[in-house]
Amino acid sequence: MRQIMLTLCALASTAMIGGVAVAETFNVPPGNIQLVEFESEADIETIRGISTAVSGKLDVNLASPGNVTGKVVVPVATIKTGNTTRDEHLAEPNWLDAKSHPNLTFELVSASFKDTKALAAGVSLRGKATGKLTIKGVTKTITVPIRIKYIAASDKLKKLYIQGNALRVKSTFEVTLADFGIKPPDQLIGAKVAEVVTIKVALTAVDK
Amino acid sequence: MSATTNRTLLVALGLGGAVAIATLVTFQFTTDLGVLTTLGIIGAMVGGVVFAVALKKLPAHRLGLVAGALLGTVAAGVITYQTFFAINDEQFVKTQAESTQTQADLDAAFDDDF
Repeated sequence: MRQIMLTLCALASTAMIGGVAVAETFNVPPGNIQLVEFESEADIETIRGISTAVSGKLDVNLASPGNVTGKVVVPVATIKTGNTTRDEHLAEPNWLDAKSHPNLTFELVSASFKDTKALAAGVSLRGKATGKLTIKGVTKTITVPIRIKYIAASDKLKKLYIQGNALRVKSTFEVTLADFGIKPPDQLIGAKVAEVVTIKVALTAVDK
Repeated sequence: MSATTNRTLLVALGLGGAVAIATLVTFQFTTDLGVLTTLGIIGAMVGGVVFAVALKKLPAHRLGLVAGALLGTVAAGVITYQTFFAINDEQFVKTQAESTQTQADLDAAFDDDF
């Protein structure tokens, strides 16, 4: 009898640990609940571009949020600055080269948070995320500040057409264009595009 | 063109150029105006000076030429601005407005204090 009880306890413990260790998948569906924004502040003008057609997924261990991986994709063709001529230029070979490299990607490898608590309903965490950013076919490993908040399914979310639980992920970081083989051409009266652009990300991932 | 007409145009351009340089230095060192705004102001001032001098000095039949040249320059400037700098994509404006609203709603739903 004692043997059976010990075996059952061992099985239960294994199941619990196994349950904790399993990562939960959150999808990043394209649409207005996603926003990737860039800002270039140059001599001649400040350019702001956006894309809401971001897609991907995050695999998060809610009990240990540092164990997170995932990938998000931004199609270059969906990045708009509000000026059609400028958008055409943006997709050309000397800029983002949409034909040869149609997507910008960020592959999340790991994250570390200041607070080690589990991601439960209403919990938000701040920390750093490390991943591989690919722009114009060039991949660089970068570490960026990240904020993440977990919200359980609610009527508030349903009003935003979000069924199930959701993760909100935000980050702001800078990218040096030359690191990715993009060099703004010299202009007579100053640069139209900055050498360093600021990227702002606000993603909402859902588990259904 | 007569010698007087040539001299008048030179005077107008010289005055306009002097105003342009003074304006450029003043605006770039004393304000946060962007280059485009500064160029626009300089263009307007140069055009104003050229037209004012021409109005006073040139015969009526020459005035039309100057006015036409100035109008052409303004039109070229406006077209350049609309083509390369201005927000002219209506779908972008709509998407941006919807996105901003949705993001604000999400922040509210998440009690987003971060």
